[in-house]
Amino acid sequence: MTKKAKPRCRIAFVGMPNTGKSTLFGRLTGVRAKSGNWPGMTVELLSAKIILGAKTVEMVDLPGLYSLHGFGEDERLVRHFLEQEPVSLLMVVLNAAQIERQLPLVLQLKALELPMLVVLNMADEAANLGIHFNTASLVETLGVPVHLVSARRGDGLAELKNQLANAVASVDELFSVKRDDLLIEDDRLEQEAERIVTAGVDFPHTLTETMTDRIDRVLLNRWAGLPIFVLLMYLLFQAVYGLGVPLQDGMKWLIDLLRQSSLEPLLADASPVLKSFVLEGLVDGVGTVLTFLPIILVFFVLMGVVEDSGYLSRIAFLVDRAMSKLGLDGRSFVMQIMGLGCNVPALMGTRVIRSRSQRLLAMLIIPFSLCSARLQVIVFLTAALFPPHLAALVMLSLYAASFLVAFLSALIWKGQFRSNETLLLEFPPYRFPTLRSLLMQGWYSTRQFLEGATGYILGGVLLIWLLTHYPFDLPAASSGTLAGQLAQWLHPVFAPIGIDSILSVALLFGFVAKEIVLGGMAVIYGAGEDKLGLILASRLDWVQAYSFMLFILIYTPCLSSIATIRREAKSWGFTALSVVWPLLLAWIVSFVFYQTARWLQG
Amino acid sequence: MVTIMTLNQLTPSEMATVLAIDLPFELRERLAALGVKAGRRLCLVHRLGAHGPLQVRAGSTDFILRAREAAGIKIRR
Repeated sequence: MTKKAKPRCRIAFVGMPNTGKSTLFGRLTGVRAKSGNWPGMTVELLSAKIILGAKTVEMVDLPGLYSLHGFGEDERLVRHFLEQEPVSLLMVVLNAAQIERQLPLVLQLKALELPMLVVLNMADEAANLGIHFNTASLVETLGVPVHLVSARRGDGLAELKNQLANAVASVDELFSVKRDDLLIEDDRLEQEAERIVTAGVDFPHTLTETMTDRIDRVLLNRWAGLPIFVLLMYLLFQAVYGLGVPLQDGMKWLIDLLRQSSLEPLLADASPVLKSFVLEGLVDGVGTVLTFLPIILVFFVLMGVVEDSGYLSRIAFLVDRAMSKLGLDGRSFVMQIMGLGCNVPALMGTRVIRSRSQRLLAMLIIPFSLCSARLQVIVFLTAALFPPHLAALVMLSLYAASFLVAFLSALIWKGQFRSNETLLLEFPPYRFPTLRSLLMQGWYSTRQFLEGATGYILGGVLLIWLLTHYPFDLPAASSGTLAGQLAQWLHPVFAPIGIDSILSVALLFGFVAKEIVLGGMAVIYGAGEDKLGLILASRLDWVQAYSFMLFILIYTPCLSSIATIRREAKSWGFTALSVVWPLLLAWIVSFVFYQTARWLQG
Repeated sequence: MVTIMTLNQLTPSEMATVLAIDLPFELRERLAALGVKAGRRLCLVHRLGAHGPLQVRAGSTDFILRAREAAGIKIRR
């Protein structure tokens, strides 16, 4: 075995969930992890190397933990890290407003006798609550440097960076933790924490009614809470289309311009196969997917605002009782909402659920959440086949179907995944997005999309081009081509649900990533964005199109989701279930819909 | 006379002192990390209907829990 080169200097970020650790980490390193105003957003160890003073320092962001002595998955992970990986400095991040309950963790960590630095984050929020810190007293009683910062607003970060540079300049070794030190008695630490807080922090006698309390009185109202939630989600989607569609038109214009002004003249004398490959494979296929990038970008930025705002915990509160009837709780509903962006982070987010069986049940239903990749296909088909005044209704019905199918699955399977999980969830104050966080969110999701999806999309689309065009002397996608033969083979399965057999080839590739489906359709019909709509409208009626959309919505999670499910559940059996069950359900739902609609039509 | 009651019997915006927590060890630990221990003051901020979840404030930390678990937290007004 080769030994990994040990870094000379390593700083580990430790703290409770929801203290803004990852935001601070991102601010200091420029590496952005997905963070949100919701506990347990950091689920992976994230590390980055930066230059501090004259040294290269490795910074590691550890998942949030409530106690060094707890038994949750994250707590084990942090303990394991501290036992195995020597560090030069622990950077302990606290929510300044909650110092009195977070200090015991600081003392548990201090007992490890590692060099340490305490950061009181969210200093702005503490100040708003009227909490004052006597930093000198805290430094003296804790015996370690203490810094007040606001990572979100960037206050105090320059000083913190200087202090870190000084601290690591004098540290030349890495320290390991002995296993015994990790399990020190807590009672003594409690009392010490109280002494320190009494001496160094001034709390106001009564906490004044905050902005958060006033907002909650409306948003958490027993009768109005849920209608307001539905309205807010509706407004979010309105905003996605209002902002995204004009941008999408701009993107189409750009791609057309590229095609007409440079690619077509350039390929005028090229061989027909090369010409078809570039124009019908690359430009039509990938271009059609790219036109959706603006909508996805706007969607992720707005979802980011919702995640950062603290509203997700309120949603969990509002729906918990209903979800408990499905064997789940409010948190898994929040994961369904997160899944509307991408199912993968939502699947990882189920780590906050401690009971294994409830977590598996939540993971089983998350892939039914209509993610942004499937949204592209559905938006496209809806726009092509339904009159504009019905389009919004069709979209709404598919979102409703997405949640119905998820809840139905939970009802059917809850007997197999019984648990007595408790719900205990922190309620953060509302936070409003800063311009910086919006821009970062947008940049981050675009990069994710381009890095993650383009490889799949490019590969998938080009393979579909080959299947529909080989042998090259036949007309594209005709019955003699590879795709045509594949389609004939799939015909018995897809005919009863009204799906054109040549379209089923695109569905096959959707196993890998749903983004491929739309590009695949463009290649199959040899048409770019604008013409594809017309062709589809002439080949499918609305019943077939709706059946196709239902199938796309429900059938099988994408490859990344399946890999995530396998990794998180650590069970092949469960992974198989999470592929087979949606496939079966998709076929049944589409079959019932298609046959009923045809029967009603006479 | 001191009446002992449980957290789920409190009416919204009432304060109470925790007397004892009669819940499994793991849950007790997690409550302690949120600042809920014998002797601490709590406030029931809000609840959703008679059987719905409760929003509780301990110091400057807010959290939610279900009525079933709240019934295991013994308090004194």
